Amino acid sequence: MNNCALYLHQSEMIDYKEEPMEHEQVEKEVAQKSMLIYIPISLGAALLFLLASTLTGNYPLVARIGGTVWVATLSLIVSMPIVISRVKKRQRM
Amino acid sequence: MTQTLSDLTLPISGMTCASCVSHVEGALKELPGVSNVTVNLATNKANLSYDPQRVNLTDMRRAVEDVGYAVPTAELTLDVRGMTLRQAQGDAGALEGALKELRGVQDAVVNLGLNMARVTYIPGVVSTSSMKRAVREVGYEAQERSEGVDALDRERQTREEEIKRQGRNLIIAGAIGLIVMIGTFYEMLGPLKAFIPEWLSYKWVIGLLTTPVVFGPGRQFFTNSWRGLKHGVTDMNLLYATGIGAAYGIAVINTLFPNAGFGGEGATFFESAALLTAFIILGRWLEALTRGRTSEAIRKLMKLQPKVARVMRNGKEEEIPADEVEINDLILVRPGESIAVDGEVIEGYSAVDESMLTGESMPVEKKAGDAVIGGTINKTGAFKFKATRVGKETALAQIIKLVEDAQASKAPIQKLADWVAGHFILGVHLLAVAVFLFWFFFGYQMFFDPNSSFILSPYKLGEIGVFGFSLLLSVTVLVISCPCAVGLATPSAMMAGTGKGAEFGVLFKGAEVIENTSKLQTIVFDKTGTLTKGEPSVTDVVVSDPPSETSQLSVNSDQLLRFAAVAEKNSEHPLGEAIVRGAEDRGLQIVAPDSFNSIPGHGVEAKAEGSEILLGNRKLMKERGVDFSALMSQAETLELDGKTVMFVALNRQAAGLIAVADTLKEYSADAIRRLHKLGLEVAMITGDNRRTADAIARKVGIDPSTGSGQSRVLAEVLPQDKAEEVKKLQAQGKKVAMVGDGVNDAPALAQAEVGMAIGSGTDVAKETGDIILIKDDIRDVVVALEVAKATMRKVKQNLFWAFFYNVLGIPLGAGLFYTFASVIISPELAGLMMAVSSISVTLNTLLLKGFKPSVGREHKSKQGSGNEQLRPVSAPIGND
Repeated sequence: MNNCALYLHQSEMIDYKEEPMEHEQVEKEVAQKSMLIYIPISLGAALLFLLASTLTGNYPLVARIGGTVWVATLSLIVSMPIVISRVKKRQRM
Repeated sequence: MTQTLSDLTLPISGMTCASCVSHVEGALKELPGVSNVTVNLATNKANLSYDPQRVNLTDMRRAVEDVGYAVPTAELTLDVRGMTLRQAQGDAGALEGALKELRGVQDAVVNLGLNMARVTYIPGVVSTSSMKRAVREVGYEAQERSEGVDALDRERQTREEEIKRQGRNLIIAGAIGLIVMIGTFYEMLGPLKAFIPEWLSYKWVIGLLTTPVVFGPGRQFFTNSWRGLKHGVTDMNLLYATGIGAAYGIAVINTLFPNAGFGGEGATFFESAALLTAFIILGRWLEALTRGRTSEAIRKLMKLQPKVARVMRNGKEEEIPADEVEINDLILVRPGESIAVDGEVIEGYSAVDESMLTGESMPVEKKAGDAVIGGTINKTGAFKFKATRVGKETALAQIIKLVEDAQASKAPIQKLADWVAGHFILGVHLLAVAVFLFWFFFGYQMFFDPNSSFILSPYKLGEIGVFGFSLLLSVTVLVISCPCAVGLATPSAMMAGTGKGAEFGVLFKGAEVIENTSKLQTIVFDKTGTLTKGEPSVTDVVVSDPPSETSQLSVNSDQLLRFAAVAEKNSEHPLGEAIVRGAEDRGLQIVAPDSFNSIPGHGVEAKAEGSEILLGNRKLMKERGVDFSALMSQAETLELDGKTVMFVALNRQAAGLIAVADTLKEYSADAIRRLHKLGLEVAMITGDNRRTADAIARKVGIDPSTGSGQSRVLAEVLPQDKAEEVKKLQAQGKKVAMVGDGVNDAPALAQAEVGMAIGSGTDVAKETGDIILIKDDIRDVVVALEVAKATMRKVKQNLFWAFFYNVLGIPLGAGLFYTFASVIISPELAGLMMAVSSISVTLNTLLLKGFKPSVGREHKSKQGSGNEQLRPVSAPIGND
């Protein structure tokens, strides 16, 4: 019983003395690398929308800008998780 | 270096949907050294294995917090005795260190002046008793402050806090939302306008009122979704955040810049933003309110855990916390008290109510030598018992652990639902883009009608522009597609099902087991010890009739049995023991024989009370020249029934026959009848010869005549070949359950789709098998099947309702009906629909609480009729 408790304590001592820095650094690197991918993707999608709305119809400027912002926002939301998880996977490999 | 993995159950708060589950799982899985992560939405817990050398609890907590959720902590105050101020100055650090070293302790502060230690810890990861032990090991005594709450209270407290928090948010969002709605529809209020100030309809006033709703109660959606997005995960919060954010943003633009072309003042969506927030919070509040109720069974079990025990120490009675009882402690129990731990009665006599653990309705008598179970209630007398199992080893702790583990596990159907819900969010955002593009470039020009309106609203779309209209539909798609109900459908039903099983003494070892059990087609029973009592007993006593004229021999059946018992009194043969037991049961006096001789393989001969007794098989009688021809036909009939016949001769003359057989358990035939009624194929497997096996099968209601069809009798099967027989049935495409006693049937139990260990009493941890039937009542197989089927029915109903809302809602939200009916759904109504979907799923699950298995129902109705004497539903543990 005592040995068991001692074993637990020893393992927990290691548990708490260890510094979890590595994980944070990896996260930072992943965030930076991902940003370089998903921001161009969403901006690209938004630009495509702006071009399409400018070239294909007689839309008011505000509608075109509003649409561009909305498409950029949704593209960002869609691309962010996909890109970040891919980058993370690659980082781990 | 060898890797030692530790298992951990981590409480998680803030999860609301299936995508939350996949995010927490994803966040934890990404940590180095973490594996086997399973997160359960209904229990709010994450089960995982981790390598303490590579990852620690702080990492895990941070990973969970990073994706927008939390690992809740609790505080405990310990009174530390034996610490003088002078001493403590040196040792406070050591004491804090000892506490902090414990896994799950986040912080520990020792106060020298007050002789106390305040510990911040993660509930469920570390127990109060291990903290006290850590203090003791440093040389002090620790006592929990009376205000300390146990794990159960803390869990309830966390839930209540969430209910309170969402309730507060709901009051704010609901009240303001209502005012905003009144202000928005001011012009349509007719005579009621007289009671409402006109300024309430000003757009900027409505905007000012909406702002605190969006950034107050609605802030949780923005912060949580942003935290998730940063780590590459999307969840329901994101759907809500984009929905509320877009509605609010456009409303602000239209108010501040009415000529910007977004629809102007006629198309402000402040009421959408405010009411959407209110409805989503209403859904969360109701969900928090009802979700806890599905786990009531485990709460009931936890409540059974006694808090104190009256222990004899140094010749004195001492009341101590139950978790401090040690093995071999002597514990006193008075009438009406709970039994603190498992043990063995040393002295005293009483009746104990074990119904809370076994479902057995009648109190069970306890006398010296009998086992008692912790958590049960002493009814009548007082007794003293010795603790044999304490802490996590007690039956109650094992049952709680088993039910908790089962509730934490995932059924295959749930894995699929989680996957769908987890990937759904991205799909919905893509759909929102598609819907926006369609209505922007094509739909608006083709279908827009300024006189059209929202469903259930007199509010005309009026002058809304192409962007405003397309955005509105895009936002509605985001809101209406929320798969909250999908994520809740399976785990809530599984939780209720495992709890319901435990209530009737049926322990499912996982959600997958429930799913498999519901699909079973064939139930294979082990014979000995499962369908039968597993020990031979006297079934027939046949007296030679008429007695031989040439002798003075004239005995009745009791006398014949008594003579046989006297001859066997010193025998250790199982058949001899059965005869002695049979005589004792009839109250016959068994004297010691004057002489006794065992004839190996044949029988025994003895002399007693002046008579010469010869007892044995046919061959023995033939060798000794005793004529049994008059009884031979009856002997053969008995043998055809699978009984072993023993011939009894008194003074070298045929006196009669005694038949011995393994007898059926009380409810075996009833159980088989019920299984047949459920349309299941029932088979029996035994090592016995074909004749005996067929006889038992016939009695129990299994038709031995066909090898295929509805019944099967698998005779002369060696224990090691039982698994092979199960495999053969599986090869025919059948889903097979094996029911055995859990010890010698282990390979067959493992081979079957579902292994049921029956009559395991309360030593649940040692059992193999996927389902443990605590009582020794074979009808619990039927209970297990009925509970599993009812649970899966609930899962399917829930999934249907969850998907029904989405299947109906998405086309509606995307404006499909607008193309021909000119109606669209407003974002706030979409929010209400989603709230209703979650609530309907949870309420549907709660209906399972009223479920009663057919065994219990019939028993109750019989009791109610008053025509039959009251009988217990089942035999007590270990009654055979």
